[in-house]
Amino acid sequence: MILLTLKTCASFAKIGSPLKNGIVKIVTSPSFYRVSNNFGTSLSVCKEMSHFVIGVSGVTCGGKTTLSKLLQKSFPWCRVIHQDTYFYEDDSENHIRLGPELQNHANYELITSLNMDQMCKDVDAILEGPGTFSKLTNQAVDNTPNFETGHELLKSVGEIGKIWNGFDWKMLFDLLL
Amino acid sequence: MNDDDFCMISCLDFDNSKYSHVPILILEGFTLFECEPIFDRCNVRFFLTLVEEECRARRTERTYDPPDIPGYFDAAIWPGYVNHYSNFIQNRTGVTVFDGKTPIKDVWTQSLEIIACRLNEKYFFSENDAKKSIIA
Repeated sequence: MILLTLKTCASFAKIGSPLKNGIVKIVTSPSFYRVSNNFGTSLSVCKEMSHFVIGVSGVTCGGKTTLSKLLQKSFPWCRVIHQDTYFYEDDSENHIRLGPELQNHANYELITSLNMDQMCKDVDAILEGPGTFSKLTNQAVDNTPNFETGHELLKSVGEIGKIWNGFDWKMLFDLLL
Repeated sequence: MNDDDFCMISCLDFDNSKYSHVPILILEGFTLFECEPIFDRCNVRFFLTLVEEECRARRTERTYDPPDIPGYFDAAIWPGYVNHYSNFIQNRTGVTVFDGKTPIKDVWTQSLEIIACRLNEKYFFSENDAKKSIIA
């Protein structure tokens, strides 16, 4: 079975230089994408492998970090994003201050003390990327590769091919054309 | 929990091989579910609670950067948490709440059961249909 993300699959057809002799159609169904050409040759299938997202929250000192560490043990290939890494700097103007009786200490217990826009962007960057990459790398969020360009996507197709241990891409092209 | 405890309970019997092709992302943080886009993106949501005195006792044992100043717990931590809990967690469907005093191994076991259930729903529900639609 060939597993590709929808995005990879779609761009694969769009880029299409190996496929230029045939019209490539991508038929979508809830979890499968069938690629076919104008001769009716239909080649399997890309199952969208979207991420599974686990949210672990709770009161300070409640065991959030411990639980997420344990879940990492259960799913060693997972990626983890800690909300704590998005706190604004201590002297940031975004902080709400507690007043002079508390030394104008920043109130870190409010969601406004965090750059949640950035966190959402980072989460989306991971969710929109080819999911299989999370098995390949476990790099920091800010190193998330940008798969926007066709070139990157085509490369990622090759990388995914490597994961499935010698999947024969030439055979795929031959079948299609 | 110290490192020894962590080692002792780190070999829970859970067969993850069925899910090894599923990319998994864990989000961890104290006000995650206050952020709607994050809430919406989670397939499962867990929330750990503590009563005030237990929370205060645990917080005192830890060091933070910047360090807690005297009165910070009563002025910021606890009111912030109470407000967050009542507005974004309490009576909200889709969030599993655990008592943070429960042994963490039990929380782990129960959360894994829920995760496995949701994983099966999301990725294995239509397995037979999927097999039919593969064209050789």
